[in-house]
Amino acid sequence: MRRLTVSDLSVTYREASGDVHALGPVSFQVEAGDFLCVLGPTGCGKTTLLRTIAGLETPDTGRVALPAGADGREPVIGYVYQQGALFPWMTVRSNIEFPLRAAGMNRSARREEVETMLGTVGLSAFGDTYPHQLSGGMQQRAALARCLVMRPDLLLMDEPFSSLDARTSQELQNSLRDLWKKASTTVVFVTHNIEEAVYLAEKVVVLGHRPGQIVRRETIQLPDPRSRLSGPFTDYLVSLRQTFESLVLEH
Amino acid sequence: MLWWTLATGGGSDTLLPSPGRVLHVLVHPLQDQISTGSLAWSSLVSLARVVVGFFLAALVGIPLGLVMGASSHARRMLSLVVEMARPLSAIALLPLSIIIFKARTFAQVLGLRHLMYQKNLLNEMQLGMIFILFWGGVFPVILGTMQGVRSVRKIHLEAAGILGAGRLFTFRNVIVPSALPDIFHGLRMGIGRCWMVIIAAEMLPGTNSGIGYLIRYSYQLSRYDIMLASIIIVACIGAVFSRGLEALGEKSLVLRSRER
Repeated sequence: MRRLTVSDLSVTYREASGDVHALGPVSFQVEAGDFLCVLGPTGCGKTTLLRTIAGLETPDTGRVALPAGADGREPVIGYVYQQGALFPWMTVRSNIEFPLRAAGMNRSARREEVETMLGTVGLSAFGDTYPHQLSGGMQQRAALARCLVMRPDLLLMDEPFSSLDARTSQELQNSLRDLWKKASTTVVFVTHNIEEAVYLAEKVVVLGHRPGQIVRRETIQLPDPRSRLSGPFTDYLVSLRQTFESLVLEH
Repeated sequence: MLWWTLATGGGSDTLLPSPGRVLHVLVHPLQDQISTGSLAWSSLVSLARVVVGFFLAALVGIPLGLVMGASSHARRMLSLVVEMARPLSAIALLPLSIIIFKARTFAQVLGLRHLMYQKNLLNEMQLGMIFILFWGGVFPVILGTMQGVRSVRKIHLEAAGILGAGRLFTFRNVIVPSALPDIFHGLRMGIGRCWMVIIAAEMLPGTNSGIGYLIRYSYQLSRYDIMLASIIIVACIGAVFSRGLEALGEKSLVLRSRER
């Protein structure tokens, strides 16, 4: 099976002050090589959904069927955090090398992979710098590179550009869309930014307020290269904005 | 300094010696003082004791702290022992330690009998003294290391897991480096404690070497110039220890404090 299937997934956090029903139930499928954006307001359980897919949280009900890896091995999952997940005591190069070392790849092969990956994300000149010496946008490029170097079967991204300024965020969206086009990895991208979702995704699901459930499913049919100024782009934007507005009113 | 010079009458003998006389002792570090050895030799004896004792403390304390930080099981078992042992002042243990280890020195343990009546550092390394230095230094090292391991950021552990790192790999490449600033902090506290302990221990009866002994003996002989010179040396060496370890730990500290 090459697609990601999420069925009747529901997550509750057990806390001292009582149970918090954070998510669901939600069901959806992502075809192999597709790009899905999960769009929803703050606190709707988007991150919980992503963490559950990654196996970092345990669902109460429902299940996640991950796409099988190549040659039937365990699927490789990449996870890009909002920020701060790079190891600050390692250079950018060592950070990207980390998963390859963990996998036991030999030194020369590793070096080669890392150099290629640095070039892919536009950080060739920054291999020897430490994360804190880089701008926020470059840090996220490095974090993305550290995931992509594993050649993930499924790439999960948790609002990776939300802490960046608008311009940098757009640059990274452009890069990501290009990278995805080339690599055709399955991506699940979580965001609360409508424009970001419309620019990046092939499919969008909109989650309502906590406990998040899917209130809308949309397929974005826009030709490449996508223009943020085109009429059809704006139509999607307005339409999804209306869904958001109705969510706020309901709330 | 001016006040000191005036108060001591610019050189004539009063209760406190003039700065000039103290300086005179300081600039002749190799001259034998009151037949206990030179200032340099006494400092070297104390230094050697501290280095050996502190080295053992680090050798035991760091692994123990790592284990206690990483495993809650080990922490539960060992923390009670550590909490009971920690407040026991090293100085309080000196008599007991001497009873247990007798007055045995490194030279004796190593079977170097011919050294017994020579002036040799190994003759000055009493096991009992090394033990209390170890005792004084080990707890800050354990606690610092444990603290470091426990304050590893959750996101880094989680990320390591997703990036395919196993437990041992994560321990070596994530937990230890991220705990380094706290480990260095513990080491700094530890060597500071060792240095205080050795000076106090050398001042107790039963010892006849080291800078602490020189302070006490010169006091008894009213040679306050030697006493003050020794105190200045003690302060300087203490500062060098602390600064040295700080410089070593600097890089890891900078990296962590700038983390976003």
